[in-house]
Amino acid sequence: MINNRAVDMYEKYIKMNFDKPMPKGKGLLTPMKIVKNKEANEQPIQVAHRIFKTLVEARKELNGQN
Amino acid sequence: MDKIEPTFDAPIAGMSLTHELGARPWQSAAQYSNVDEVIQYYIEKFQIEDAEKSLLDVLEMGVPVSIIANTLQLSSVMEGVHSIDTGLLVLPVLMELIMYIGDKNKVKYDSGLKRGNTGVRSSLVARAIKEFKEEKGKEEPVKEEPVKEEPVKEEQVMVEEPKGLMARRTESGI
Repeated sequence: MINNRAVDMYEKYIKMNFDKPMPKGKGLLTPMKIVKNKEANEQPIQVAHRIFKTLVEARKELNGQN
Repeated sequence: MDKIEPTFDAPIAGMSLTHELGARPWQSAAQYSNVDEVIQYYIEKFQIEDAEKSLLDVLEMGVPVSIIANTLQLSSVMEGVHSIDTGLLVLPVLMELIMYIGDKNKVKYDSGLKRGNTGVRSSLVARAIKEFKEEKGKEEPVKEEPVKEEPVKEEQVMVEEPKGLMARRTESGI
């Protein structure tokens, strides 16, 4: 099915939990610049998940109002 | 035992090599490489009034949200806006965004999240009805009413009498 990929990803995002503090700059592929400056090393999936969570909460609020 | 049937839905081997490398938009660098930028691109796209209206129309037609999101994402990959990877990461955000727009405008939609949904789609029902009507129309040929042939009235041919100096003389004539 075409939409299975979308549904899989959606379910994955629902189950995901990035609330636990992620190790910063510990990965093998982390650039040295980030390790040295101790910058937050947010991965693309974490960025997408953060926005996704915001949207889910916004929709819940909207439905709660209605 | 079920026989494994060959699928004919796959691309032909070498189909992707019919153009020069880099000639297609998805073969060159994508326009947006960050997830942030890609999400911003889609939000801006949905903010256009016409886009939102057409999206709501599609939702009202009963097209599942997951299919809309996937189609949007794939078409953007084809246009070279973003890569497949970022597209996949953004897919749930897109779905949620579409559902938010639907809820905001109080449109009933199918999220497409239910698995094994074997219910008959309304579009299929409409197609079946249409085909049935067409077939019924073929079976029952339209009765042709016999056309009554009206006798053609013979018009009386009026023969004009020759006039003028050079005209031939007639019996009654001069």
